Amino acid sequence: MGGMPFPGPDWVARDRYRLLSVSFNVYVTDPVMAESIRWLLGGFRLPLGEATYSVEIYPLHGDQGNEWPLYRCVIGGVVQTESWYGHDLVGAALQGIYELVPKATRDFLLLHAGAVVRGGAALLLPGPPNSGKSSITLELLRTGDFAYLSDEHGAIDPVTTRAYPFQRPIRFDQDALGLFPGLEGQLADRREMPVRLMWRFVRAEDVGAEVARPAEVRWIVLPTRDWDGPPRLTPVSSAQAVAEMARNCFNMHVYGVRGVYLLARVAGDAKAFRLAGGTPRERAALLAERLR
Amino acid sequence: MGDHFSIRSTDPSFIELLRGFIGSFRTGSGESDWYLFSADARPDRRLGQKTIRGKHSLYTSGLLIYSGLSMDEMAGRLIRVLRDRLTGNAHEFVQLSGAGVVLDGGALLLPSAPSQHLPLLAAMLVRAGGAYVGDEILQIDPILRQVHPLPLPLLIDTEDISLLADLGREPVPELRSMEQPKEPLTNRRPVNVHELGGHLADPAPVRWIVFPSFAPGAPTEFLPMSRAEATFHLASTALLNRDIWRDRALHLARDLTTTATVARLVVGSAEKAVDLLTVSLPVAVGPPA
Repeated sequence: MGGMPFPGPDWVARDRYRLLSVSFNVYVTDPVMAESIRWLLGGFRLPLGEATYSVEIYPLHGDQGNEWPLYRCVIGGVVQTESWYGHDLVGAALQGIYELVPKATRDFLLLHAGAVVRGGAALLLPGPPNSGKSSITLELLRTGDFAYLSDEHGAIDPVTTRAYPFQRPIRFDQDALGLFPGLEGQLADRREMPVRLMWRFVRAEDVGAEVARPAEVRWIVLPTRDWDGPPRLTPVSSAQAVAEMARNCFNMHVYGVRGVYLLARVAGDAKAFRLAGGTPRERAALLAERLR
Repeated sequence: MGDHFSIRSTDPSFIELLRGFIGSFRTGSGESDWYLFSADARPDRRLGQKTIRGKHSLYTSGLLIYSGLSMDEMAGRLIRVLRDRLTGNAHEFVQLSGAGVVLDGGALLLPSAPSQHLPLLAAMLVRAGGAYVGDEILQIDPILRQVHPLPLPLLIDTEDISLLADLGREPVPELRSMEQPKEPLTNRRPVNVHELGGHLADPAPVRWIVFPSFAPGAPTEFLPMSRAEATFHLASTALLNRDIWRDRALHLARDLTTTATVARLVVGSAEKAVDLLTVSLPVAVGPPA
């Protein structure tokens, strides 16, 4: 799957990326699309070598040399999309890569969770979609006290139980930017990335935060979709935390009951809370104040 | 085991042979096939007073992976390719090159760089009462630190199998015109665990880690080894999926060598090595404190 593609297209980019332990060789013929993918995946780039999957963006045979060639995006031999537009193709490549990582990862237990680090200790935010994981993660980074692990993939190492970074840029719809006053001016995506995607991207460095090193989990906070009233943190038992993490796990099927042991170990060393009410900013402020 | 493959053969007896080794994995024909193995198995034929041995060929994805005179060896090659493909994706385990058995509820691991003699040692340990874990690949669960058995037959080197005489496997004639595979990827003969009078182990904690080196004729003996040396040796020479686990494998190796008893073993004679491992090892060093 990850071998060299057939000769033919004139690749202007032959780049390798490793997201957790899943690696991709990305081949692109168009310099603008190549630069955009490098910007989006820059934190994961490695020297070219063997990879699990290949990602190819190239003009269809017969369209090479046309002013507006029809391009195809292929990942692991599977066509993702065909389009004349860079934003469709780069978007499809990014989406395909992001979707493959949780499917192909077997050496980490992957939680659907935001994750940040303060003082060498990790805070996990496992929760269902629309519970505010990404927005709380972003607001925590904006406090200046937290370093970044991930907005969506809390990667737990089975050997050490530490949380590992999966530092993809935090992704928002353009409309959601209004929820984060002052953020738009800090973003470099539209300035530095030549292809304009429908999403906006926030890197840790854009908000003055660093990417964290692997860290022991000290806090597990379960954000809810209950946005009414002021923000509230309620302690929950380790057992409840384990159940919530298991429910929000991408690859529990890989580990089965051993995954539950791992989560119990993580929860056993951490304090667990449920988080309700407040805006993302208020929630982050509460966490920054209480979790020390 | 979460993967699908299909096998076709010009001679039904090859399929029958395989069913004796991997028949428990057989499913209905409706599954989608990920791999296809094609065997061109030619029966022996008589030419006057002479028997002309049938030459067999095995292909996967159009690639020739076995050519020789033994269906047994061809089955061994197929199972080996299958095993390597299955374990090649099972990165939820830290995988070591080595053999292993369970003795008295604790696992004895024999990590080693790939060697065609390891399966013989594993077979003899099973004969001596060990529950079978693996003959060339060991799967360590990084969460509970247990070794998990591979439910596949042992793959005994085609020359070593004569040392298990009661199995009654005929020797395979060599054709001088054929290039023989190089060590450690020698031809293998599949042997079921029950043929050795043994059974598959349950997942078990690692109690002993013994690093064998094969030196035919040398005195068979244990040599002491420090835990630091064992940690480094485990992570550097025996680790198979290093590219996946990286520095985390070193953490695991350190934990394993801290809780298990470690030693080197010079194997001058397989029989003496088995005696040492099954009789002297548990008594002499006991389980770790």
